[in-house]
Amino acid sequence: MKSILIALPATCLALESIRGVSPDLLKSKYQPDKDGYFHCLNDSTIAIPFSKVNDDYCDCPDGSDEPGTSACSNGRFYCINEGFLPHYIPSAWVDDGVCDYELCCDGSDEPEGTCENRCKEYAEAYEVETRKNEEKLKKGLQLKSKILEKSREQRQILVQEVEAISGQVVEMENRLQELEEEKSRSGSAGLKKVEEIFKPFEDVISGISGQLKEYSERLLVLEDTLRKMNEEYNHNFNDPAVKLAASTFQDYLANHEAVKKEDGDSTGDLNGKLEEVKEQIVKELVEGTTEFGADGLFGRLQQSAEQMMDEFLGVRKERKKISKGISLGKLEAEAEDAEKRLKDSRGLLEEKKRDLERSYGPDDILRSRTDCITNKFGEYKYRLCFTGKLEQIDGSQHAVRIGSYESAEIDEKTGELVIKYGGGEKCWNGPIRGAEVRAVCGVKDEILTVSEPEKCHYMIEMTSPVACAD
Amino acid sequence: MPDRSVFLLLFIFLLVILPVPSEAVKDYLFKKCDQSGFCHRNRHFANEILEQGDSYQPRYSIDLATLQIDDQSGTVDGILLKQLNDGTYVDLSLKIAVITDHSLRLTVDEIDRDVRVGGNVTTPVNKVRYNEASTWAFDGKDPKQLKFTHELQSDSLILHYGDYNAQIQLYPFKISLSYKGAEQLIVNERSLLNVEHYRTKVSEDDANSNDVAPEESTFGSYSDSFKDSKGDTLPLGPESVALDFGFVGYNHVYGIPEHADSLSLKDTTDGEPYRLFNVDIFEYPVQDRYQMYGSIPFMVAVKPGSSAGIFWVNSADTYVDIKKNGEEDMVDERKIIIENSSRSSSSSVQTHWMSENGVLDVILMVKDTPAEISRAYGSLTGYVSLPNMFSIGYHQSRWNYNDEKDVLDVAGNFDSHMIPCDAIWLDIEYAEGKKYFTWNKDAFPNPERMEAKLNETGKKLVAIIDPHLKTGYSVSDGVVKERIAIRNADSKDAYKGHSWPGESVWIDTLNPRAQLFWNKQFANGSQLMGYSTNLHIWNDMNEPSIFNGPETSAPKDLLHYGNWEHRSVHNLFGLTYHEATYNSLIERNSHIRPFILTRSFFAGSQRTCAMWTGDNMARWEYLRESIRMCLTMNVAGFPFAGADVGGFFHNPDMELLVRWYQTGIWYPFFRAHSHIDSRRREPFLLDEPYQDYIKEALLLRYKLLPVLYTQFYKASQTGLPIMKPIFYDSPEDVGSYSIDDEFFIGDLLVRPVMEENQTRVSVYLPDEKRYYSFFNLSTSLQGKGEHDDVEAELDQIPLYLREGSILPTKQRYRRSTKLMTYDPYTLYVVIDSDGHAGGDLYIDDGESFDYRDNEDHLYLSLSVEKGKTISSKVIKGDSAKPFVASLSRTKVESIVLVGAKNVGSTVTVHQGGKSWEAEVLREAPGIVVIRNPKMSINSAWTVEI
Repeated sequence: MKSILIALPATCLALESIRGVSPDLLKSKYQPDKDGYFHCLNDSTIAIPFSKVNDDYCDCPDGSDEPGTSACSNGRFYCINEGFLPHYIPSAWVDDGVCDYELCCDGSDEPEGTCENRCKEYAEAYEVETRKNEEKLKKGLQLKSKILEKSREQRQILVQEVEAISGQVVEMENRLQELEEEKSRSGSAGLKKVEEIFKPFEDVISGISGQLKEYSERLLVLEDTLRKMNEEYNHNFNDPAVKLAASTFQDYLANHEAVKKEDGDSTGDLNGKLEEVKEQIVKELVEGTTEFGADGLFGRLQQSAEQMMDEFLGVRKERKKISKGISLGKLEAEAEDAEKRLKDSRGLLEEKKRDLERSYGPDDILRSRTDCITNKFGEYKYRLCFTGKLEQIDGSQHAVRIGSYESAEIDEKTGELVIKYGGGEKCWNGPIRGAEVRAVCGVKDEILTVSEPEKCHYMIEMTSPVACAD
Repeated sequence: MPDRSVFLLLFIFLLVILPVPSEAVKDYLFKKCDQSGFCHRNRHFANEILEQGDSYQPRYSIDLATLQIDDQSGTVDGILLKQLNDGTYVDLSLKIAVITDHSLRLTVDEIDRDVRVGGNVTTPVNKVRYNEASTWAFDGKDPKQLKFTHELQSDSLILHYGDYNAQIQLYPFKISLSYKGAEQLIVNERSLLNVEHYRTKVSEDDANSNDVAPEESTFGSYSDSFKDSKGDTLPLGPESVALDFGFVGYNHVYGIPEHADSLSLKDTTDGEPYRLFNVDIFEYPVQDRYQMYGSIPFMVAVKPGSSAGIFWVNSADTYVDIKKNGEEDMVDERKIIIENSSRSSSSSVQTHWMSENGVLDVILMVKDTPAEISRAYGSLTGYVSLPNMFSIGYHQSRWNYNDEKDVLDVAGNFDSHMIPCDAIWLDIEYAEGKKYFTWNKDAFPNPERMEAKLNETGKKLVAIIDPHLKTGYSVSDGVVKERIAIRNADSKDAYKGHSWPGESVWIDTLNPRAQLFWNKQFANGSQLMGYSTNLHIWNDMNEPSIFNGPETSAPKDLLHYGNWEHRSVHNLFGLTYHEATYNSLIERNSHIRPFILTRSFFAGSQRTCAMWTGDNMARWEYLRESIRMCLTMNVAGFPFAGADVGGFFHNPDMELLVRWYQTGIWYPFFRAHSHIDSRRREPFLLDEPYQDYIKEALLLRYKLLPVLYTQFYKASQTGLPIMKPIFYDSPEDVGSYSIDDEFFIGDLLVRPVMEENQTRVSVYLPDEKRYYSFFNLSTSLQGKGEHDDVEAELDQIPLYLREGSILPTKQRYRRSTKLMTYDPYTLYVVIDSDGHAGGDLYIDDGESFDYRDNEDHLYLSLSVEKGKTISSKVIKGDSAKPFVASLSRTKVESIVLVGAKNVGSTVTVHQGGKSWEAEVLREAPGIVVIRNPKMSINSAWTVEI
């Protein structure tokens, strides 16, 4: 590389400026060494005659020999932007005929005389903007601190509730244990046997129950899909398969009541009956009234099982009803009641604990944001409940759930608060709806834009004090 | 409760056992040959005749007494007789002409047909055979006619012209065309000529009809039994034209797009013919002969020593049967053809062309090479126009970018990720209610502001305008009121069908008044265009696609301008539509080269637009098919072709997407596009390393733009393909005839990787030249035939530079092609063993018509002589023209020199009477780089090495 040594008079060597180099680097790095060479910034073993700096040919692998031309694909150009903030731009933007004022307000990225210097107006605009932002930030931070305070309070209340309920649960557990012990003392050794006998039935039923539940859910999905297709398909498109499917589904609807979503599973009755028989037998065991034979324990067991299977398979037969009328023992009732109350309390405790552990974003900020805002865009209104549902509401007030609150975190790159909503209603012929809400600092909670970059995946931009940060 | 349980189980059971409809073309929507009246009849006719063999008495003969032979004007006119059952004849007019490039044109029509139809038909339908397909297909002028000399004998007429002899046999009618003493093409070799003359329904139904020969079928003559076509009134009855052509000694034929099939066409004897019928074919299958969006009825045959072409000038529904008699042997994965050494009695590829109606008009070409056939076809139908430079950059599309912010964010993200991009596209959702020429103002409140923002970095916007116009708004109302819509069969009202916006009418762009109306919609200050200078147009759905129409298109008995039936003009409607758009854009601004993308096309479409292969899928087989289809388009004179990168339907995985970009950068038209249900997949969204691989591929495309643009220039002058099938450069090498996964662009040999999990490929070399690996010039391949085991990891593109070539490139990344205008060149010079190398470079401003109107352009010849000098000579160009003059600031920044011997540490550069030294850097053994020689590109120079 040193084959061509271009001798330069020493007086020329102290350069005052080199295009695209910052004043600091100019002093420290962009001066020829004693032999008149430039050393690549990231690899000083590579040296080129100083005259090759900015000669529009890329010699340094790091692009540092061409700070003021576009010769190196990885180079960068320093815009001095006097009177405003200096900035680097990629060397690819140098001398390409575009005045990149956004980053290079002095227009130095293009040949002399191409771009006017706009730094003054940029600086002024920047100052106005900065002042506005500062004000906004100040107010926003005040609001935010109130929200944070409220969130902290709510968390405190929740912590106290959890403690209180935990205490109650312990008490209840103790009481129940006492009752159980009492029961078992007065109980019979046959209990275990009964459990053994019932086990296979319970397993079968629970298997069927799971399957049925799954089928029923799948049917619901299918019916829902078909219903939506039936309502929304493009009548114009001459697709016989779709048309046939739609008309078949209409026939199907005419002949069947649509499946409804139910809370319990469809084998609830079976389980209930089995439980009934079991309780009865246990009681009889406890009270010593059990007998064997057709009317005795095992006879009744067999009878019940047969009946359940027949009912399940839709076979109707007259069968002898299982005799009832033996009242529960007092002990039993009390234990049952205690168990139920314990279950409820445990459920409540779990719920509170989950809520406590749930992420409400940085500093738990959204914990107190149970409120909602609504803004209209085009033909739709969007109702956003920070920690609840996000809905799209059409002109006829029909709401579609885009999603429910899932998480909130700061995007390190942009500083925005990103709130995610998931598990929304499924789109016809498409995915499950969901949304990403990107909040920037603002005094008001307000949705600025709603877009749907992919079908049923929404992107919402908003301002909110919760996104303000120092 | 129990009831429901049972029902549930049953329902689930049914779901499990019932077959789930697989995703495939809705083939029941489209006619097979035996469901199509004229195809069924002509195949039947052919089978009957071929079964009878030599005993068949052909019905067509030339009436010697009527022949008028004009040697000077190059024409033969006469009467072709068609014998009926009773021995009487139907008179057909016959015209044979020797035209431009020594092509032979044969035209047959019915004499006095309108008189014979007379009062039998009461609708206004035009009663003569459609004879304007050539008007639309040809490049604005009738071909020149050339002189010949002739010999007339009692049984034949022989025409002599150039190296050609056309022997025209009077009975049975047959033409044998010879070139340089060897028979090449035989017209009506198998006597399949069939001109269904006008006959009334009564005569057709009559069992003893004189009009229907025993070898004919009457299937579908007066009614259409196909389910969606039953409404066809077929007012003129059977009127097909068909003819067979034999290619003598040829085993490979190409062309007749559009089909998703192999480059070398297949024998159709045991299956469907290739169909040419423009339709919106939803979820088309690959490796099939289904009709698709466009049609070019032009076929090319290749054998060592010569090449032949058939241009069947007909715009009606057309089927082509191909029979291959040559011995074919499957060796390896690629077919090697064992040529017949002995001449067989019949030709080796026989083709049978059948069209539903129109005059019979066919042009036969024979030349030394396929390149000359391309030139001859282009001299008739026009060459591809020199594109606006941006349009050969990268296009980013999606159904849909939703609003102004979305569009500008996408554009801005390309810039901030330093990935080049030239255009952002808007699909149908941008218009209000899909009413074209309007904007959805909520999403695009200020289109001109958006366009201006894109324009800052040289980017363009491309917006879709389809021919279906939603009923009930100003544009469609205007079309109806001015009676420039496609009309119902009774001619009274505008036809109404359904498409994206719902009920719509279709503008009839065959009507000259439609052009004036169209001009207004695109005019300066119009709602759509405003005063934009960077808005270009996408014409989709112009088959035309009609959701509720037969075969998803227009009923064939609709009427166009001139009362021509849609049946007659179906395949060229798409062309009339995109040409109208082109004319409107020129009318609006005659300084900017318009860019138009069309889905439907016909012969001649290459003059005004680019095409793409429609709605493909994100699957490997569609990636492979895209190259075959683009190569076929290049053979058929329409090189500005591409496919949706990434696949339109579904979501590609990262490997497929990377490979698709690495393949897509070679499409002359390079656009990524995807369905509204697909995930976003713009390159800047992807994870590493995939984003980087794709970025590198895109940068390679941009670096090679000088090569590509030069190829466009040459195509615009000579009709030469831009993506060249291997056999174009080596027609003597029969081993290359079936290769359709490899191609040349200029002197670059490209073998894209189009298989999943593939990290090694086989590269075929058609000759003994040395091919240098473009990315590592120290390595090369040499030796004719397959070279297995070439490395092709996911970040690698097998790409070779042929020895003896000079490749001009621009190495600097810019945000768009426009910003590269004055960037310096890097030349790759690969000297062959004789010390020679050559190349060329075409430059102009890339967007105006000054290259044409002011000859403000530059065409350079680059060469190395005897290993001693590299020089550039100006072939065309005047340094006083403004743009060429401005190029003095554009330098050669680097010359990468391969194969040069004894290069010193400096070289001497001479330009414009001055000389200076340039430094030489040693890169690797045999490779040196001349550093920054700084010649201006716009005048001659020499470098002494």
